[in-house]
Amino acid sequence: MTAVWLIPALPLLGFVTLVVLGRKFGDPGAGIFAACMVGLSFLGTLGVFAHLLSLPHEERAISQTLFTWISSGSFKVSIGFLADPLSITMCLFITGIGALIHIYSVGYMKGDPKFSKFFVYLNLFVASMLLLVLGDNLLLTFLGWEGVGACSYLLISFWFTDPKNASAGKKAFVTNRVGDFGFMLATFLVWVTLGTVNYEQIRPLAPGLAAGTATAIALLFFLGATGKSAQLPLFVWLPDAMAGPTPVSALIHAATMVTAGVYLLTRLSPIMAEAGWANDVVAWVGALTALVAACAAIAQNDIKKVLAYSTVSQLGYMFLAVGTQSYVAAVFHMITHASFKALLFLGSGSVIHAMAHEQDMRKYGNLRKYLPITYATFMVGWLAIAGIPPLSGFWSKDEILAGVFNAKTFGNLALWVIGMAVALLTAFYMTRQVIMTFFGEEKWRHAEVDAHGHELHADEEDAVDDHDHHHLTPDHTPHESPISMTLPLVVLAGAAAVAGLLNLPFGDPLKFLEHWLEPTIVGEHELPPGWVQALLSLAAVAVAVIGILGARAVYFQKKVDPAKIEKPVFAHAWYIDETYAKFMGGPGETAFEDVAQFDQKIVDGAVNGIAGGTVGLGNRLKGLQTGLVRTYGLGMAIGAVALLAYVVTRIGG
Amino acid sequence: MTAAVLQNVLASVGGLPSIEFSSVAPSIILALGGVLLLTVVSVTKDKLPVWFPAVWTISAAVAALCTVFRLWIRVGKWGNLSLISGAVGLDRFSLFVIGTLCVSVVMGALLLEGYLRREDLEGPEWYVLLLLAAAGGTTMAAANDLIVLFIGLEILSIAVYILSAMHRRRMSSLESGLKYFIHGAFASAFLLYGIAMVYGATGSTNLARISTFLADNVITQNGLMLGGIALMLVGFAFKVAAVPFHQWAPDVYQGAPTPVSAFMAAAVKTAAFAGMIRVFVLALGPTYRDEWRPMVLALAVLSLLVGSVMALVQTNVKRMLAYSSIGHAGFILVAVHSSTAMGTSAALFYLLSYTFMVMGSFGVVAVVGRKGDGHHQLSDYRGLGRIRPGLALAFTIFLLAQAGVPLTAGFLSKFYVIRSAIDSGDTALGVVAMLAAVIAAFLYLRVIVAMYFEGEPGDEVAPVKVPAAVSVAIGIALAGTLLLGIVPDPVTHAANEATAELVAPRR
Amino acid sequence: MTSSALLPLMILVPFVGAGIVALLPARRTELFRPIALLTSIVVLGMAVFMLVNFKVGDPGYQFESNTTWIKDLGISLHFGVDGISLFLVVLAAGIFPIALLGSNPDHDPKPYYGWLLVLLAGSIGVFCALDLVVFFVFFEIVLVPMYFLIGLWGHGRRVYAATKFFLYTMFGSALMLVGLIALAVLHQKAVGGPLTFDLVTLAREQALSTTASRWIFVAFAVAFAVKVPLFPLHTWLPDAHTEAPTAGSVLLAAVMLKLGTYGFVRFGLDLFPEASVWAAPVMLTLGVVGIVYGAICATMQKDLKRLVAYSSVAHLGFIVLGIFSITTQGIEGGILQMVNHGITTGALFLLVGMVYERRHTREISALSGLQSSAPVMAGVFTLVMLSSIGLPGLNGFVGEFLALLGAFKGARWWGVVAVTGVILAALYLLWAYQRVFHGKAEGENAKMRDLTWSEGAVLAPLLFLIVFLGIYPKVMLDRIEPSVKALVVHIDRNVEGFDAKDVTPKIAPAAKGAEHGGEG
Repeated sequence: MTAVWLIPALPLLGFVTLVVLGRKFGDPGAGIFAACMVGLSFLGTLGVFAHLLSLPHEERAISQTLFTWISSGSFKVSIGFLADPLSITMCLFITGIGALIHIYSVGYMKGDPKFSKFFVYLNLFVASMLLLVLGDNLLLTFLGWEGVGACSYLLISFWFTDPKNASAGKKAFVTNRVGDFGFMLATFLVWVTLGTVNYEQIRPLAPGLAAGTATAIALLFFLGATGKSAQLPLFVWLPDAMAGPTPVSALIHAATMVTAGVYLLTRLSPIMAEAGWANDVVAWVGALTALVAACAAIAQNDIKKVLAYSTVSQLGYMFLAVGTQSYVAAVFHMITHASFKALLFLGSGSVIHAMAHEQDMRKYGNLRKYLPITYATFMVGWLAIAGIPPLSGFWSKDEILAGVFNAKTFGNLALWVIGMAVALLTAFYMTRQVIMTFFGEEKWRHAEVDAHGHELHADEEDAVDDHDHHHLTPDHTPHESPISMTLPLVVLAGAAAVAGLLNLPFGDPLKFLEHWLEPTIVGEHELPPGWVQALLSLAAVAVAVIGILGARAVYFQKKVDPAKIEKPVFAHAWYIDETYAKFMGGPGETAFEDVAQFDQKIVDGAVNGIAGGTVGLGNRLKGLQTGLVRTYGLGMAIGAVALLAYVVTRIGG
Repeated sequence: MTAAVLQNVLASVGGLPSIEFSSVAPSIILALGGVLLLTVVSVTKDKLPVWFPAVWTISAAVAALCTVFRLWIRVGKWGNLSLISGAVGLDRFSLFVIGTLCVSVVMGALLLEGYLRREDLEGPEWYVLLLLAAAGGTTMAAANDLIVLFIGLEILSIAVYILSAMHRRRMSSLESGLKYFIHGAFASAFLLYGIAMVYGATGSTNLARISTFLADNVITQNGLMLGGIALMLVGFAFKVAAVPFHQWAPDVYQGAPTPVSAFMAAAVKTAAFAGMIRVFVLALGPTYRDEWRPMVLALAVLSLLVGSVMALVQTNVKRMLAYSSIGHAGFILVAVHSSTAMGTSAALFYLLSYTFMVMGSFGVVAVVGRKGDGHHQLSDYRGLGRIRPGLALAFTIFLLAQAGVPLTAGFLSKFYVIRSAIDSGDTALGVVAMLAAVIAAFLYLRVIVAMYFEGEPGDEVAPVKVPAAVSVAIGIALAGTLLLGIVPDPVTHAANEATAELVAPRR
Repeated sequence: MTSSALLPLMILVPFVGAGIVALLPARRTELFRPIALLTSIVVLGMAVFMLVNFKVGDPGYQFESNTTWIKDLGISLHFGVDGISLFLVVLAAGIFPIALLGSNPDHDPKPYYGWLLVLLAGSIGVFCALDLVVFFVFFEIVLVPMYFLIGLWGHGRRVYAATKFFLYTMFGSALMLVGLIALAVLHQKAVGGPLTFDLVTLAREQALSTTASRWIFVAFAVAFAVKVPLFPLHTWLPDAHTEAPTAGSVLLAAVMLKLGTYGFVRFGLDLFPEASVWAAPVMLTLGVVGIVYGAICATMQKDLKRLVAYSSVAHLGFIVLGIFSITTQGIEGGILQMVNHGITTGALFLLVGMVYERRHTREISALSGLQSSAPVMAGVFTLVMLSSIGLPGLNGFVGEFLALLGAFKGARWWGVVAVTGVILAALYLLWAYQRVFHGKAEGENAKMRDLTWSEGAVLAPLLFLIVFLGIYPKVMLDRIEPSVKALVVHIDRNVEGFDAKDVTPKIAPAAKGAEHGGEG
């Protein structure tokens, strides 16, 4: 007996309880309570996981219907859960990493006046995310999808007194809504053509879809995914979203929510299998996003922005995998990325915490001396994302690239080259970050001078955790974060190191994840033969090492002026965001204003004009009312003549 | 019972055929009432209490009303009556109109009573004229002959001319009477000329004979007939104040003493429409409807639009009501235009409703006019909702009723008219009428705005006193307005039965 | 079909209450509010009784009562509710106590409460009238109290707003009156017998020629389009909403705006199936224009209340879209959205009213950082706002989704364009929220009082419904569905060549019975 519904219900219960009693629980009570609820949910997930394992391979799916949610005519949707390998995998890392980040937050948010509210949102987020992955139909997934979006909005603008944070929250929501446009239309299209939105019912019906319809559905869902998972052209909200507290960046904007798009397309692999060239689009958009964001990441000075662009870039990898039908690789990378990116974000949070909430890496340096645990764990994350074996990132990235190399996707070799380039850039910008932060001289000692001397980029004021306003002073001495913050770092570092074990390329028996996910996923892809794979892996390691050495040469050995690499076009992420902003603030706003003016002047003006015209007519007629007997007599005479004239025409008729 | 006694008394006095006198009892009661009042008052000099003339008048009107009920039943039982060699026809149509006129006499007398006292005016003559005017109106309503109709019209008109000029201290009153008289004479001439031409064409002034003649003969040279129709229409259009024969109305309504304006708006219109329906719908309807309907249509549309639009730009409430009454005339013309039994009953219902609404409205106006009958600007209504909530509410109801808001007489009367228009296939006319009603609604709202939404507490012009008699009149009007809107069945039933027939003269 | 006095009583009780208020002397100021509250609670009680005793699954009218009113014209006081009107009646009954509790008049309590009670009676009556004339009577009569509410207790340009509101609506109903009389007269001419304005008879017999019914539909449609309001007949709404007192705005949103959309279902689709199908493209277009146009205008508003008013234009657009998709989902979604819009926008207006009471301004630029000084209010506002945006799990989503789904099915490309409204809704509301609640609070804004307990208690039922109906709309859908299905069948039967696409479920055979994969 398993109660799948308990998995989302526990954090939801936590949310409800904290709404009511959060203030009573106080600091840190509310946080501990929230963390416990997520922890319990994690245990529940483990229970369901164990249960699934105990079932025969093909029967590993538990569906549980609670009650009918919306029923209208033949449209019926239930609040029902589907626990299968895919969703439980997601749940495991959502609740697992979620619990760790909750614990971390207890330390990070200590002393914040809205401490309990933070955990209210965080618990709601976890619940929504679990609904997203556990929902047995598109609509319930959409509920979770929007729920996480709302939580993301609330948490990005958590410190709302700064207009930047507020704007970032709004931007995230609205951008996501653009994606939702696609999600909703896709859902409609699925229902209209298949008559159901339930995943288990879609599965057998999907092969019957016309290719055009399937392509349309896939593209529309992908539009949704580009919003939530920050892909081109809708990625612009994610860097800004770093305005939220760092645990939020780690949980929502790195590990879980942003992977929802990947999850969705994986979940819909039966439809994607019919979708033809839509897959190529997914792959190419993913690859280009990865490249664009990686370029942007090398020129950021804000420690979190580097990670933000890195996240966009890594998500691009996942879509590259999805587009090439390597769903397992996508999920694999999702898991490893979740662990190392959460680790990196939390690590950066620890740094920020230690550095009086300064996020500009140009004011850091030599922090390994002060933050040993943070430093050590960050190193693990660095190597994992850079793709150095045997850490987890290497394996998952390698599998994606191997899949791309052999895929039937349009221009697959070009995609592979892009992937390799991104791998190089990833190693480069991560190394740059590590060097700027943990090595070199302690630049904040002469921070003022440096800040002015290095003013290359305009974005240095962006996204600052400013919940308390003590500034970094030259005599500042950083100190390591409390145990509640370092413990999750250690656990995540462990995970980031070994997560590669989930799916090792050394023979079939070691591909645990692939076997585990097999019943859920539809889609064929063939990996290249072993020796090719080995060569590819070597190439991948080689580019990673080149990236690391390159960054070392620039930032540690200072052989090259960084300004030559950190071009403004990179710092501004190819000016895509600026272009949008210019449009929205310029022609877009003007057009809106014009419409509003049209409403005021023309539409309403016409109404008032008709009223005014009527009155004007009355005033004009008033002139005929002279009060003189003779004019009245004339009027009557004219009237009489008119009538007589009329009857004359009728004479004889 | 009383009517029966009266009938016997009258019969024994005159030694004339009893049936004829009892049948014209309403007219006789009203006319005699007026004459007797004059006699009594001049005999007793000033010894009578001040309320006496009013009470007398009301009693006469109520008595007349009683005979109307009595006759109603009788006509139902025994059929229509033709009197005085077919010159007068008593059917339920004429009885309905007579009843309506009696109601306006009652309310008019009540309004006058308060008005005369406030204005320190000598009383009895006003009431005498009121009664005589009503007698003229009833004659018109029952006229079965063009000459009788003309006589009735003249009795009515002359009485009202004088009433308009009766406020001797106000120049505007005198001017109003004079203007009315001159134009009225003009119109009478048209009417008389028209009658003459019809007589020339058909050889009779008797409506039934005209009708039969036209049914039996095809007039090859119809110029005379058509000319007669057009000229008669001018005469009637003047009396009901239809555009373009309306221009006297705003000036006269504004200048006349307010209770007289009220009586004019209600009773003169009722009587004139009754005459018009008798002539056009009954006598000429079957044969010449295609000739006169387009003309009536033109008058209706013009009245609806000009009345409504012109009313918008007035700042004098009496003038506003005058223009709105032009609009209402347009509505009734729509009913006349349909030229069916349904249209006739719609017109009757409208006239009764309008009597209540407009007399109520003018009643309020008379009160708010204050001493001197001069405060008729919109600004004079500021804050009325605060200082006189009851009066303001009553006025609001009258105004909304005129605008056609449901649960009032105004709504159902419009409803009936539109129905008759649609029934005879004139849906577009119905739309025009309703759009005019919307335009007119704006002016009613302006008054409401002044009463409730404008002005600060304390800046009201002067206190407003509501005499008891006027309260009663407004109460009656209110009751009528609401009852006809909420439980209209008895009246609609009556109006349906009151579809007129031409009473053929006994051979 | 047994006769029930429930509905006539629900209409009568507020009239009696209004009468009592009218008869009491104006100086007894303390009495009026309790009387009004008591009356509205009694009505609410009856509404709840009705809701509880409503037979699920019965598509016909329930709690019917039928008395002749004007025999001569064949007008009857015919009342009844079915799934389409049930929740609108309940909403009207439910929102009144809230509106009464949520705001106070600053002067003249006697007429204020008197008019409100008249409005209550009218609101109930309009949704259960089954006779065209009776419907029309209530349709018009609610104008009067609202006119006075705006004119007497409103703000700023209240006279202009009230007059505009009154005349605009009258313009529409003038045409409708001609239309409904024409309908009855032509019906009588076609089938003989006495004149009748009975909705059930007229809808069933469908005696009119195609041309005639199309014309009459147009006349009705203009009246309803004004009420909805549909572009370009909407400009009365921002003025009326903005200048009305809080209770007026709430009731306008919750009740009055529904008259148009309800009219479209009841007196459009039901009476004129063929004409509705014929006019659907135009109506759909107007609905979509409303969605996009209303949202764009809302974005640019500088007055918070005006912004919410324009958001109503957009929301009502969704309803019209759903209705004229002429699918089960679309119509059900439309009806659901009518109720949900009432709840959500009602709550929004209450909140804006509370802000106004404290700050005496609704200028967005004058407000800032209110979340610091009034966190609870901000939280409540957030929830309501998210509901208005249409976040799944909250009430606003279900209706909107079904309406869009229906549109997508019945009128695909309109549906596609309409979905953009989902983006715009987020844009204008979040931007407004940001400007008002986010940022630094200075001056008056920093000192603003948070939500009081009593205000919270007023809002609580609405908040509860926002969540509850978002998760469990089934309670409503179950009751709405039979009537809507019957309506769709009715249209299907009476319109040649029309394919009511959802009359039979079309789930692909392979998926049948696959809904439950075994209970965990």
